[in-house]
Amino acid sequence: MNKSTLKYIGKRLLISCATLLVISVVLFLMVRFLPGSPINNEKLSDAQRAIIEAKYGLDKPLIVQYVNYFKNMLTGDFGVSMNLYKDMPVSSLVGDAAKISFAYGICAVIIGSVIGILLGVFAALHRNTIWDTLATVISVIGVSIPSFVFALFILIFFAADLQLIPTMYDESQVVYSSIMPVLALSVGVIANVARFTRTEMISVLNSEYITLAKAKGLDGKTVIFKHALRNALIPVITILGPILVNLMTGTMVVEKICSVPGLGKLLINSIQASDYNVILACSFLYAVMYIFMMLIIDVSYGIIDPRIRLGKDD
Amino acid sequence: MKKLLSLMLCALMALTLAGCGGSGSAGKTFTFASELDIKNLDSSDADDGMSFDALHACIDGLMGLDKDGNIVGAIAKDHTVSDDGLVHTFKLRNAKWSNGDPVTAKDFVYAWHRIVKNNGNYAYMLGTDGAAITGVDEIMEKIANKEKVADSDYDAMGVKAVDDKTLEVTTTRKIDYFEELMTFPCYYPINQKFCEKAGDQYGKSAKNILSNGAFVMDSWSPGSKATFKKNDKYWNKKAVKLDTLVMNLVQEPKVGATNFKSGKNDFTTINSELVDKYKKDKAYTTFGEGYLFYLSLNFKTKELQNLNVRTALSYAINRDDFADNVLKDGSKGATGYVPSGLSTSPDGKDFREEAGTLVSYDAAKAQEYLDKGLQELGVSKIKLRLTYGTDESPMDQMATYLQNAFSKLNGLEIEMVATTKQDRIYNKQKNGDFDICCTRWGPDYADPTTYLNLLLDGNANNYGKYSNAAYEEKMNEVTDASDAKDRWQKMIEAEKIAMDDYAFIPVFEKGAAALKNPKVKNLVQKAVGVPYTFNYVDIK
Repeated sequence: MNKSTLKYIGKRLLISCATLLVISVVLFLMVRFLPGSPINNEKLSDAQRAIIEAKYGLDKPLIVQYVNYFKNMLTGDFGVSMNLYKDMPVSSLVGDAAKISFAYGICAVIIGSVIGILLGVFAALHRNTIWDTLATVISVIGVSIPSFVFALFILIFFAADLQLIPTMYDESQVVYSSIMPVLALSVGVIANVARFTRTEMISVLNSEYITLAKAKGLDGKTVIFKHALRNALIPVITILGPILVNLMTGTMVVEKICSVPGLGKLLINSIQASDYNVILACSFLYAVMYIFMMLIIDVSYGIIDPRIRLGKDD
Repeated sequence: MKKLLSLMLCALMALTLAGCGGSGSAGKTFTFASELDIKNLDSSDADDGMSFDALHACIDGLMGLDKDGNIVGAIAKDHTVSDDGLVHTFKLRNAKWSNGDPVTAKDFVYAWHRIVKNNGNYAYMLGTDGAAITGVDEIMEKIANKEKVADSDYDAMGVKAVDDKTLEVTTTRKIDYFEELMTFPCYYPINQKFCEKAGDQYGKSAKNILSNGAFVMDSWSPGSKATFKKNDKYWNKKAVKLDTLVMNLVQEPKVGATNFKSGKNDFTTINSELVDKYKKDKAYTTFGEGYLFYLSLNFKTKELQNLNVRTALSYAINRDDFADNVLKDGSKGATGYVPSGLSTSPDGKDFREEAGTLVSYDAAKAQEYLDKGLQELGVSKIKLRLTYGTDESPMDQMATYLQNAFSKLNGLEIEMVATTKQDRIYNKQKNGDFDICCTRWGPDYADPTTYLNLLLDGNANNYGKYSNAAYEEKMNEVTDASDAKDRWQKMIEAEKIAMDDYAFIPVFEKGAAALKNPKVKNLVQKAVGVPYTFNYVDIK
């Protein structure tokens, strides 16, 4: 990595931190202005409510609340849940959920991109044949049908009827019970990656340097995998980043259908319960992941394609 | 490429191996699927049904239920009441906590002091609105005023450990349903030594909850699953037939039903969309949840001060149609203010059965009464606001149905005010900024007064400021009645007074539909307090 790249990364990191600071303020305010309150037991007297609000510091001015929250956040303390799982530390709640969602997201993206790339390359190499049409049909189906429909399909046929896999997440058999959600999540990735790879592969295969490579007498495998695929993958990486963040931060509906205690479900449940600290921690994590992932993608361009320069050379 | 291949092969092997694992736990297992999660296992603070279910699986209070749902002694083997009805003496049996400590009267004293000290959600249940224990209101007032509460204040509280096995409770008024109250989780005992060791983590994880009940909590993953094992130290372990109890969180009723059909759970609640599909299934069952959904009327609104207008509103609602054809979830059209299945008379009859049907549907009569009302008001048309929370299902369905029903009356225009539950209660209702408000009430204890008290002048939840001298007098008679049968009769009369006056307009009693494995026996379901008691569940 040269000096300009490092400088570029440093600059990006600084900008990212500033962005996150702004995001934390906006999130904090938005959450506080949500209709509803975490203390929603209608039978509590005014005095009781006031005492509970004081316990969570909700009686202080917003700015004081924010400063306290931010200070604690820097030490890794995201406060306690106020409603959903009363008084449990948010860091452990979100941490446990994030572990599962991260693992699922990464697995789905790995499985999805390997199959997707193979499918895309296959379609490109057999352009305008029945195989190409078949691959296109598969990817169109994958893109247009939402992942929860696949989850329901797998649940009904493979889990409930054939009883091949568990119907819901089970801590005692993590891998086995994760097949359903991971497969459901990877279908969308397969479809997206396959479409992109096919298009890119076709344009790369038509380019002059491939003709040159072929003219030099290189064998088909080397041409495809070393020269064509490497260049075709650059745009694919662009779409993989956001897909990965989306999948890693949890997908509400698939998590609900597969009864997975993931981040997406936790976020939605916390919003419904107006559980301020849990909403904040989940959404902030999402923001951090997104920004971090964008940075990684930008940097990885330079590594994959040396023609792309990051920052200005001195 | 080779690396990738070997990685994939490894993953495949891991999958196959994991698949062989299976979950073959020995003995009888009952799997309960719920849409809602366990929130908290601290009996001082828990305030939701699912937490109550889990708490009661682990902890017995003074009183409990038998397998037919009748109230019987649990930790208390004997209960005597003084002649004036104010002093309750409980003799405790030789029960043990799962760590081997005996359950003593001090455990109750500690728990009851703690709930007041910590201002738990149900602290009010120890004061006038619940068990009316002497000294509690005074302490809560001090806490509310931010005054210092001395140890002597707690010592003065009407709960004393006379000795290890004798608990004495003094109340400010006579409470006929005291035994019933003692089944509620906020009155459960807490082992002081264990609780103080766990500190603020008490009740927040499986290892931080100590059991004296039928089961010991084995694991708890919030958002997913909780498992319980039979407690070998339980005083009544002979009655416990299950070896394992599993509570699964399945938020999607459709998935819950699919799991049920494939034998993955023994009990799951379903929603109205699924009712038609499973209605004829032998596993299909419905039950009351104890909540009454009703319309709170603002008596400061001029139009609603007119009895004929209120009567017209009540007659305009086809309650059975709404419950049976719109909600379809086991809910029932309300026939009075106190829901059915809440409490039984000294003769063993349901209150609703004895009090009869006090509200009904008759569109023609509704129009007749409205016309009379409009004439008395001297106008040809009135406009009323209908306030409801969009975040409290099925309030939105109820409001839409009512708007439709009311709009059929000539001379009545309805303006819908959609808001959140929070805003509905704390801004709109509390400040009297409403005309008609869709609201609900869940009973705190199985006595009609849990509903009837709401209409008393000065009750904090009487947002519509209903006030009726005859009603107040009748309720005073209820409080003063010395004979249980006499008291029961007076409550029936009190409800009649309020309903003749259309003080509130009851709409429906919330029910739920579920799929229950027909082999499952003795699952005790209650509309008040702990929804499910798993102690006696057997699978035959």
